[in-house]
Amino acid sequence: MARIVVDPVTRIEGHLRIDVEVEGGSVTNAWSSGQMWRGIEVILKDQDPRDAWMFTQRICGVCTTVHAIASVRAVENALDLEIPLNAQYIRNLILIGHALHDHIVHFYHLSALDWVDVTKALDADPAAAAQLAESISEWPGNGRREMEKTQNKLRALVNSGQLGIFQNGYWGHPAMQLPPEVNLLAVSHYLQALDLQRKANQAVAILGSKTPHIQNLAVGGVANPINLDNQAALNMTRLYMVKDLLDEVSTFVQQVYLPDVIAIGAMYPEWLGYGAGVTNYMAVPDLPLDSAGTEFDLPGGTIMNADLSTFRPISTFGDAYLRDGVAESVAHAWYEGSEDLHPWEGETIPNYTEFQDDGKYSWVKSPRFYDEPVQVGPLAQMLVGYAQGHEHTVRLVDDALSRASSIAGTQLGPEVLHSTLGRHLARAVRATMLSELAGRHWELLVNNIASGDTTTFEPFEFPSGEIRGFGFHEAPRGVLSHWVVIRDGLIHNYQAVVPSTWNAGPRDSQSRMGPYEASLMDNPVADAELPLEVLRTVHSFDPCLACAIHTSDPEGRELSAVRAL
Amino acid sequence: MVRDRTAGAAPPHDAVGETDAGRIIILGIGNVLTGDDALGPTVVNTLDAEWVLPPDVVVLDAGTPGMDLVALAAGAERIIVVDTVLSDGPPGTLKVWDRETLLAKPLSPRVNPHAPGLIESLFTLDLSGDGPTGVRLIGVVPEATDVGIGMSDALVASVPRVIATIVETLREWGVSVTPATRPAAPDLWWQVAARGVFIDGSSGRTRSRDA
Repeated sequence: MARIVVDPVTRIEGHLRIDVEVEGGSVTNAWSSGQMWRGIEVILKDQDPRDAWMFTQRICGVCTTVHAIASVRAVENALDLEIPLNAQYIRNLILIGHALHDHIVHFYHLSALDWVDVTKALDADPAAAAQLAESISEWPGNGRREMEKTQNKLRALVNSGQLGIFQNGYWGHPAMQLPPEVNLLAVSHYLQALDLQRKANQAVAILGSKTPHIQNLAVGGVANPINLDNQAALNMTRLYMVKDLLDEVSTFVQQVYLPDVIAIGAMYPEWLGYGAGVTNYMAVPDLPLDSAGTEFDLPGGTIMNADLSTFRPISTFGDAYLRDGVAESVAHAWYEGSEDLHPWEGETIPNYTEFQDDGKYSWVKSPRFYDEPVQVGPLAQMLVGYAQGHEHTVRLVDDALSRASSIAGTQLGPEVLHSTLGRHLARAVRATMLSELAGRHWELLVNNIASGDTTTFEPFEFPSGEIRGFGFHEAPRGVLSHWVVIRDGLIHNYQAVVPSTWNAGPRDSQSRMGPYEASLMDNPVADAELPLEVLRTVHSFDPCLACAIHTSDPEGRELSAVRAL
Repeated sequence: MVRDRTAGAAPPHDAVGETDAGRIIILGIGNVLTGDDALGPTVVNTLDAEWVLPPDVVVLDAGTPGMDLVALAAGAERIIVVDTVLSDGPPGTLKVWDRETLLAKPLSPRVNPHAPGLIESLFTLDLSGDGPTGVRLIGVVPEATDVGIGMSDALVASVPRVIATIVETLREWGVSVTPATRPAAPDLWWQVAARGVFIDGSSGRTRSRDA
């Protein structure tokens, strides 16, 4: 039996350590250990709840806007405050722009190279690659000249002896199986995606006044002045800039990102069989269509044990099924306490031990939903949408599966989604859904303004005494919830339960594995020194933990390690 | 409290992030909620308040963007990055790297997420043809980057030296910069929160530190 430690495993800063035991070429045990960002309650204690979002959006430098949105929603929920329609739509457009940016970057720049062998792209015939691409998509960037350009760039890199950003891949690994033409196509799209993710970012910057930290939020709405004729306000020129940018990004998602993931899914069919792990799923509804948050464009709810018939809805802001079901276990995390606590009662009292296989081994708590581990993320959202017959979800999921089936030459049903590549496919389908909704929410905003409504903010006052609230957001990595207790207008307790906690948490009080851990079981590992397969499954969750701490390392002092013990 | 939070209170729209307007971008990297890691944002906000820069020099509190640095720095001819660094010397030690020295070291194995913010982003920008021709990393060795607000004395004392180094670099690049005749107070909004209470990175315990 071999033990492999991958430390750290995220490509964004953060500390996530994965240990696996391998026997007979497959994983027989797994541990996920991470640094959780803890201490926001210390920073926010006795602060003005109206300022909390500015602090929470600094928790993670990559997921800034999502923590800002969840925070204002939590305080609004405590106040039982409805916000103007314009504010909902503007927030929705920011969320869509951010999520498109995030999903594109995750696939192309953080995980595609687990599947694509960059060096093999040099062996491709550019004409054949172009022909293949043009047969599955009308994207104009798939021509022969584009393929030649990419190949020339790559060849120059290889000839210089410096692979630059590509220097550390598992090139030539036996688990890399794409034909050279598909590798070339994917590398071309990797380069094009760099341009597109900037455009998504610019759309967020226009609406949010700045990026990466938006400036336009307020408890009660947004602070954007709407004046269609004023240069310093959100005017028609800026709204059309947003539309053009989101249109371009949407086209890329529909014509490039989704077809690429479908093709990779069909060409690695065995990875539609590995990596299911925890098959309880939870998603929250998002993109509200009314002031109170009772109607949404994205579906929410739960299903248990991969059984679509167990669907239960989460349908409004303040939903009692969600509110009452969340508790966090610290049985295997470095904190004191024996009971699972609801976030409003949440504590963070450290109790560090060494890494103990059967004891405590992580700073991440283990959230549970009515005592069950659940997986969150785009796959969860697509599955709960599919289970409830959400029309938009069913159409896009069925379409993606039927296209994958025709490339694979075999019938692929929704059951293949419970897998490593299923998570990628679900994310690409969700991005497609968001890309179709971008135009709709832009029109909702513009039509509402055109009807004469320029309100963006609802005034309010904090009552004396205690109020409690929670706000949720279906972030790119899944269910994010912020929980706040306010006393006499000041924050008394504040907890953020983040998506990666649901997925990356350690075992719980009943020693049941978290989703990362469970998903690694039975994964093949061809070469313990180069555990590409482990990275494939972990990366499919879009891991992001402890993104708060960042110290540049220009001298290469922090050595990451893959250790086979 | 520092901000008006009502309708119309958002800062006016400007060029930051909306377009690739900056010929030179000065990026303050770091997390304002983790002690000395607030250096980058502190420096750029102070620079913005105390110096007059030409319109094509953009100052950005970039937080901890990881690979999103690609989106923030794309299109710039030159960039200056201010951050805390892992390096030798007592807290407050200031060091400068340029493009060549930053890119000379091979990247750690691909699973390593560290410093992707800068070096991986520079490689990526080069590949896309958008790489800045001039790069300066102005780094300061931190004392502690635990969760909590407030920098150590050594890092507070380093701020004027970092700003002087930025000004020197800009002048070396032929940019005209002048001190503001009436410097504003820098917008260090996060300092309104409790200062000097930290969560120790290794033990995880709460402790006090004079801030």
